[in-house]
Amino acid sequence: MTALRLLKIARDLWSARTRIAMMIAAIAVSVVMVTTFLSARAIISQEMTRNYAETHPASATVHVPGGVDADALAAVRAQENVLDATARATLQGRIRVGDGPWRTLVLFVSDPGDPQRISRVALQEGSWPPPEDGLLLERTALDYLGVPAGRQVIVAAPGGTPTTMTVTGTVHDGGVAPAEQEQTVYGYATTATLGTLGAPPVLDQIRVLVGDSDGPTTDAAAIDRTAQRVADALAARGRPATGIDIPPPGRHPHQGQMVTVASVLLAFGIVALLLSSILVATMLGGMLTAQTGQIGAMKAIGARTGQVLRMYLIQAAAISVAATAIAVPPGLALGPLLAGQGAELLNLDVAGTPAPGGVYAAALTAGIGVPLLVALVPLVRSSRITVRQAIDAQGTGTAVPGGRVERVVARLRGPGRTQLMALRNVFRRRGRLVLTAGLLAVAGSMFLTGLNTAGGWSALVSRSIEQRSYDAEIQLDQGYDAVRLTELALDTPGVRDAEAWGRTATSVHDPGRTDVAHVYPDEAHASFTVLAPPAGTRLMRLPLTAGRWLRPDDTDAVVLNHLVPAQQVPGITVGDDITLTVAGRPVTRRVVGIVSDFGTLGTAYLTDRDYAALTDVPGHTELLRVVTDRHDPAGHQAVLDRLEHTLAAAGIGIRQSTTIDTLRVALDGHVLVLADALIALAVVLGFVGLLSLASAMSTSVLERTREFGVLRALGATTTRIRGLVITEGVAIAILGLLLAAAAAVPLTRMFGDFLGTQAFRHTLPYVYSLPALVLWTLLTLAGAAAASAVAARRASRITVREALTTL
Amino acid sequence: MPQVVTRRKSPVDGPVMSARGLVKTYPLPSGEVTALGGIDLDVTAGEFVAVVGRSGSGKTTLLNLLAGIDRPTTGEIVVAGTSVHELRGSRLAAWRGRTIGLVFQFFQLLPTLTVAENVMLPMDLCATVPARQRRSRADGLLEQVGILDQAGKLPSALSGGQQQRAAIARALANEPPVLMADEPTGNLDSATSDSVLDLFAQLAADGRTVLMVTHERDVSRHATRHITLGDGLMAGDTAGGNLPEGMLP
Ligand SMILES: Nc1ncnc2c1ncn2[C@@H]1O[C@H](COP(=O)(O)OP(=O)(O)OP(=O)(O)O)[C@@H](O)[C@H]1O
Ligand SMILES: [Mg+2]
Repeated sequence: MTALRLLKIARDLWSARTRIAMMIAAIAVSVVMVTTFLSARAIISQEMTRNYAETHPASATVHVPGGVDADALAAVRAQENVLDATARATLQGRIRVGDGPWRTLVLFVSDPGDPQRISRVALQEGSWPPPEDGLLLERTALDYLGVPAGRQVIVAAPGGTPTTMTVTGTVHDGGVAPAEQEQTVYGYATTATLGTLGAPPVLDQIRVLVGDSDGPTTDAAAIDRTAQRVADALAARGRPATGIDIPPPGRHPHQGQMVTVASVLLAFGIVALLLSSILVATMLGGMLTAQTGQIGAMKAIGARTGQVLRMYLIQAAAISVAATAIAVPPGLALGPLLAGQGAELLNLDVAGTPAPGGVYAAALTAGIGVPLLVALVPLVRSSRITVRQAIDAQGTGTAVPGGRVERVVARLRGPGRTQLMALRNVFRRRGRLVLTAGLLAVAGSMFLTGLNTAGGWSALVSRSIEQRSYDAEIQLDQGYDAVRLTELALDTPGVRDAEAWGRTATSVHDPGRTDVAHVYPDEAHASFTVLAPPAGTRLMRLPLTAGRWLRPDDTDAVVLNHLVPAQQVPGITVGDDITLTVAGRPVTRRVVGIVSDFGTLGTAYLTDRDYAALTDVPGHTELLRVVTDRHDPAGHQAVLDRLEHTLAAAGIGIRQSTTIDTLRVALDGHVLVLADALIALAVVLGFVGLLSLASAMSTSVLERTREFGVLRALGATTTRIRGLVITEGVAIAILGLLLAAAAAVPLTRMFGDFLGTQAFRHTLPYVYSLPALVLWTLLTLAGAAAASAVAARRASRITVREALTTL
Repeated sequence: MPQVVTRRKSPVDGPVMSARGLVKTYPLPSGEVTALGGIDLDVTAGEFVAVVGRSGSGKTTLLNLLAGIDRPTTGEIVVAGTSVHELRGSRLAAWRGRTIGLVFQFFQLLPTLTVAENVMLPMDLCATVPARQRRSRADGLLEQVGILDQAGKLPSALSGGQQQRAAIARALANEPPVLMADEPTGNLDSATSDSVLDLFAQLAADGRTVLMVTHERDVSRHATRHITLGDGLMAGDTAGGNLPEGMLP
C-alpha cells in the first residue's frame, strides 16, 4: 500500500470518525466478552483440574465389608500398577445445629495415623486429627449450617443416637461442590470419632491410586483392570470385595456442568462478536455505497478492483485492530475476575496462574479476523462496482441494480404512497436489508432462546418437583416392616398420606468380576440405587421416554431412569437385560421402560413384590415418603420433625431425612447459575441488536443523502421524508422480528437438548416464553421507531445543496 | 502555457482509435432499446473530435464503449493497438489507466485528497511514474492547466472551473495517448468553459487525441472534427471547425 493511498484511508477514517468510533466500540465490547469468557474458561478449567488433582483423588475405591488388616493393605500396595493404597470409610449421617433442620452429612473417615497421601484435603483452620468428639468441616459447610468453627453441632450416624460434637476446624476439599449447592455437609474425622458416634470404627474402603512410573493414570480401562486384580487379591485373603467405585479419572464431579456453562458463555460471546462484525460490515457497506462515486472515479483513472478492495480492507482492519487493542486490557482483567467468581461457585481455590497464551492469541485472532471476514462481503461487493455502475448511481446514490423483488414491489399499488416508497427502498437495497434484518433476527433469536432456555431450566426443576407428590422423605438405617412404617406415619399429626418404599444401593453386575460403579467418594454423584415403590404408588408419576411402567404383577421387569443409559450402562434400552447386585445377589431383569427422572441419581425401579422376594426379610422397606397437610417449607419441616420423633420413639433408626424443598434448593443451585447467565447474556445480545438497528438506520440515511436531497428538491415535506425513513426502519424491524421468532423455535430446542444433555444428561422441556416474545417485540418496535426517528431527523434536514456536493 | 509534459509516441501507425460495426442495445422489460445502431469510426493521433447530437442520440454510449466502460453488443474497438472489447477486469482497468484520460461532468476529484494528491493518484495506482517524481510531475500538470496555486487545497475549496481543470490534469497524469471527456463543461459558465475547451485544444495541438461529447456551440472554434449522432447512427462527420447548420443540438 503506497503512502498516498494510506493517506486517503487515514483521511477517510478521520472524516467519518463518529461512525468509526461506534464501530470500534461495538467490536471492542464483543472482543472483551470473547476474551473474558475464553480466558475465564481456560483458567477455571485449569484450576478445576489442579484443585482436583491436589486432592490426590483415588483412582478406585474397593469396598470390603469388615475392613482389612495391615497385611491385606500391604498386599494391595504390592499389586502391579498400584502406586499407593489406604483404608478409609465414608459415613452417611445427619448433622444439625441446635434444633435447626437436619442436614445430610457425608463424613470422610480415616485412621488417625493415615499419611493422607490419597483423597486428601487442605487444612485451613484447626489441626488434624480432630479429637474423638470433634470433626472438621469443609469450609463451605459453615455458611450453609450457619455455624462458625469452634462451635458445637449435633451429629447422628444412621440409626445412632444424636451426639454433640465440636467443629474443631475447617478444610478445603477441592473434590466437592459447595455445601449449599449440594445441600450436603462434608465432614472429616478419624475412626475415634466414629466410635463416639456409636458407629463401628471399621475402615471398609480401600482407596487405590493406579498408575505407573509416570504417575497416576487417567486410563479408565487400566484402572478397572488393576482394581479387579486388587479385588481378586483381597478375595484370596478371605476378604471379598462387594464393589468397586471408579469415578471418571481426573475429572472433577462438576467438570461437565462447568464446561457447559463456560461453553455457553463463550458461544454467546462469539455470537456477539459476529453480530458486531455484521454491524460493522453493514455500516462500512453503507459508507461505501455513499462512496460509489469515488470508487467509480478511481476505477476511471485505472484503479483495479484488487487495489480498491485492499484500500477498504485496510480501513476495516484499522477498525478491528483498534477495537481489539482497546478490548485486550479489560479482557485481561475481567477474565480472571470472572474465573474467580466461577471458582467460588465451584469451591475451587484459584492459584492466580494466567490463562495460557494460546487463549489470548485466539481472542486476538477472533477480534481482528472475524470482523474483517464478515466485512469482506460488502467490501468485495463495493470494490467490484464498475465505472458504468458508478455513473448510473449518480442519480440515486445506489449502484445495485434492481431485481425481481424490486420490480414486484414497484408494481404494488396502495393507499400510502410514502409507505410504498419506503417499502420499495427496503427491497431496493436488498443487501443491506438482509444484513440488518439478519442482524436483528440473530440478536432476537438469541434473546428469545436465552430466555426460553432459562424458562426451560425452571420448568425442568418444577416438573421434577411436581412429579413427586410427597413433601418429605426419611431414609431408614435398615429395613422395617412396610405396614408398621405407614401406620406410624399416618398416626403422626400433620401426615396425610404415607408410602413405604424399598430402597437399596446397587451396582451393575458383570459375572466373574467385582461390580464396578462410577460413583464419586461422596457416594452421590453418579451413584446407582434400586427403588421399589408400592404398587400403584400415589406419590410419584414419571413420564416414560420408552416402553411402559411396572405392572403390579411384574417379577422380572425393571424400569430405569434416564441416567442409567447415560452413566451406568451406556446405551441400554427397552428389551435389554440388566444384571444388578441387589442385597448381595446378582439379579437379572428385563428393561421394560425408561423414565425421565430429573432431580435424582441413577435409579432402577422394581415392583414391591419383586423387591420383597429379593431382600432378606420380605415386606421390609427402607424409605418412607409422606404427604403433609402443610404447604410451606417450614410446615414440611415441622411435620418431618414430628415424624422423626414418632419413629425414634418406636425404635426406628434414621439415616437421612429431607423435605422436598431441600431437593428444590439443590436442583435450583445446580440450574440457576445457568439460567441467570442466559438471561444476562440475552439482555446483552438484545442490546447489541438494537444498537445495530440504530446504526443501520443512520447509515441508510447517510447512504441516501442524494436521494433525500432530490426528494427535497421535488418538494417533499419534512413530515413526508420522516415518514419514509421511519416506515422503512419499522418494516426492517418487523421482518427481523418475524425471522427471530421463527428461528427461536428450532434454536430453543437444539440449545435445550445440548445444554441439558451436557449438564444433566436430560433434555430440557421445550418452553417458548411468551413474555420474552412480547418483550422483544416491544423492544424492537420501540427501538426501531426511536432509532429511525433520529435518523429521520437527520434525513429531513438534508438540503438540496448538501445532496449535490456529496461525492 | 509552459510545456513540461512531452507526449508519448503513438505505439502504432494509422488510427489511434478504430471502431467497426458498433452496436449497443439495452434489454428493457418493454422491449429492446438500441442506443447505437452500427457505428464505424477511425480517429488518428492529434485529432480533436467533438461528438454532438441530440439528447439520447447515443453520444455517451459511444464514449463509454470506446473507453471500455461499457461493452458493445456487437462490433470491435481497437484503441492504441489494443482490442478493447476483449479486455476484462483488472487488465481492462490497468489498460484504461495508462491509455485513456477520462473527464466527466460529475464525480471527479476524491474529496479527502488535495488537488495535487488527486493528480498523483493515477500514477500511484498504475505505478507509471517513480514515486519520487510524482509530486513534481503533478505540479507540472497543474501548472499546465493553470491552477498550480491550488495544489495544496482540498477539492471542495475549488470553483467548478478549477475542479474541472484539476480533473483534466489528473486525466493527463499517466500521459495517456487518448483523452476522453463527457460534457466536461456541462456545469460551467461560458467564459470558464471556453478556457477549458482551449485547454483541450491545446492538448490536441500537442499531438494528443481528444474525443469530447459536448453540447457547447462554441466547440466549433476548437475541434478539428465533428461527429454528429442521430438515433444511434452516424448522422454527420465533418472535418474542420465548422459545423453544418442545423446539426447543433
Ligand atoms: N442503462 C441503460 N438502459 C437502457 N437504456 C439506456 C441505458 N443507457 C442509455 N440508454 C438509452 O440509450 C440511448 C442513448 O443514450 P446516451 O446516454 O448514449 O445518450 P446521449 O446522447 O449521451 O444523451 P445526452 O445528451 O442526454 O447525454 C437513450 O435512448 C437512452 O435512453
Ligand atoms: Mg450523455
